[in-house]
Amino acid sequence: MLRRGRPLLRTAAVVGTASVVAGSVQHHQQQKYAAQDAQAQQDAYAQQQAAAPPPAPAEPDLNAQLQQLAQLHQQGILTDEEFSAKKAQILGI
Amino acid sequence: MGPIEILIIGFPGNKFTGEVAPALAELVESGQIRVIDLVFVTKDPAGDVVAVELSDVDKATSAAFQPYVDEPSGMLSDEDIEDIAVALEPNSSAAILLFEHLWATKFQQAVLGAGGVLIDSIRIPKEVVDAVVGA
Repeated sequence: MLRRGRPLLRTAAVVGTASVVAGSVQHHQQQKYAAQDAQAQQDAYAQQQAAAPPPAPAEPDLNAQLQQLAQLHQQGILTDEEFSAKKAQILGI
Repeated sequence: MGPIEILIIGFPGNKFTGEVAPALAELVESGQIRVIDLVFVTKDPAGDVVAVELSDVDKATSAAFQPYVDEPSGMLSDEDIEDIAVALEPNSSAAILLFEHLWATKFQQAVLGAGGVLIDSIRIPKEVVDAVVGA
């Protein structure tokens, strides 16, 4: 008789049975196969973490702001003093 | 198929016999269990394990168990037998019985039919009961 189907005990250990067991066979199973499964899960998680790129920090577009400010200054909308003051503010100086 | 259970029965003196087979009689005949698979295992003094099918054990043992097993299904895999044999003492034999708790299957169906839900089923082995009650 061929007995090559899916193993009941190892599957039960991995899936997690609802039974409370003290028997040596299932205890051995849970130790060996549940631990293997837990390790595989840990490895998969670690891999996932390593693969994900860190999110880019949000940065105000200083360049764009200064360009806009210079334009307003050129167009005469901002006076020299206003321009200098705002520029200093943007640059945080 | 309802919940199924594996029972491992050791033979006294390391030899397969049909003597324990009648213990199955009432359970099977009253429809409380259905034997799905049965396989014999022997572990020699060196610890080597051999699985023996019902059709290959001695005639007396085979004849004793046969009435309670329609046809061994082979649901117990080689790996299950291997794992179970770990717990066997060297120079011992066992019968591995896989059976369905027909009473539990019927009960579950009745519960579902009545609109209930079976949330869980937890089996507490005898050793645990003894330890808890004895404490």
